[in-house]
Amino acid sequence: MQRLEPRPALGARELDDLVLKVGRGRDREAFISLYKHFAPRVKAYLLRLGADDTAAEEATQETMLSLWRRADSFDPSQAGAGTWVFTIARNRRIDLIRRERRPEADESAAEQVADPAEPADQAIAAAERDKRVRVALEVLPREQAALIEMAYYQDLTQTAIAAKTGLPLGTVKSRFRLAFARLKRVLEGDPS
Amino acid sequence: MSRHHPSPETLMCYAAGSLPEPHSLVIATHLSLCAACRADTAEMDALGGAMLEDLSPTLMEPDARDRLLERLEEPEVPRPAPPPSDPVLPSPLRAYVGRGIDAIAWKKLGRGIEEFRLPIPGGDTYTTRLIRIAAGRDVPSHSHDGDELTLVLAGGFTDGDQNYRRGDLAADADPAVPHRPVADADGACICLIVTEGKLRFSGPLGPLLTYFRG
Repeated sequence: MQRLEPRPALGARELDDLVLKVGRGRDREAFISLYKHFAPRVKAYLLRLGADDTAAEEATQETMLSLWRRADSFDPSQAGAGTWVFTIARNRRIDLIRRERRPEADESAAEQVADPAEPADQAIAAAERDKRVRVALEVLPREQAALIEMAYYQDLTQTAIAAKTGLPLGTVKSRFRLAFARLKRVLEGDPS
Repeated sequence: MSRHHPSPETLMCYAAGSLPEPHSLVIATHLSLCAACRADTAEMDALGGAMLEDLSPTLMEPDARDRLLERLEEPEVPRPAPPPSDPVLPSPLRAYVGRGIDAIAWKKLGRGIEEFRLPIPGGDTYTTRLIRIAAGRDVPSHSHDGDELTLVLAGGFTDGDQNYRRGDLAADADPAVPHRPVADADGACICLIVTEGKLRFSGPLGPLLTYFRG
């Protein structure tokens, strides 16, 4: 697999602005910058998940086409460009490679049955969240990071991870929980 | 008031895109009813975004970009319109059921229990169904070969010392331990249930058995 030299990556703010330009003005130059940044990463993501080169290339093109078409719905206060593109790539992979549908939550549903003790409005700003998630990934103990990689990059459910690693399912579950608890702590501003 | 949510590991597999389609449907339906889990899922999406940024870029075919630029103005296949809103079925589920809750052709299983199977492809491993249990009736004590996810859509039920109402998700701690859910007395209980493998009835086998085993 050929690799590119890491080019100076665009910052999160620049990427957000580029997607906004595509959304507002159908700006082809902005789209080309986004393509240069994201297409090689999306392809790498799809290859990591086991797609062959042709399928990865095609699903990457479809991901970038969706980016172009849906850019007007991009809202940087909800998620940064990198996160938004990840969700598109994930969904296109499920459509095109796994040949399944991806049911999505109805975010507009007025009815909420959540425990009032867990208000959702504690959510921090998307940009800050992305930054802290990055920190969390760096401080995660190795065995927890490995499980997350298996979920995100090997298309494995917890049961499949248990089978593959030979770990008891209970251990897999508890490592996921520890990883998520750590992520939560970092998101709440405690990097320890 | 106790509330029952998906485990972090299940939400994370949903965000990663590794859950099987029936389970994703259960989670998407729960998320439509639960802002707290939607916020957690947004964080897990951000985790996916951070990991994407960290991947070493891989070369695309040399002419890939130009070929895509030529396609940008292609007419788009119209996406299906969102389903009409339904008082019981949140929209991701309504889209799979293909009709409103009042138009479902329930199949009677006896003992006050009815079912409607959802047409989700690849259903050899998993069975996805809506179950309607008459007020106060129970599902005979049974265990499972594999995991079972149950999401309450209307009414409620009690299983052991836990009570579940609309939006609550029940996941078996240990599928091998028999359980006997009982519908609450205040009305029919409607649930979305994904079952892996076969059910095993531990009590006297009712006429249900043949249906559930299908």
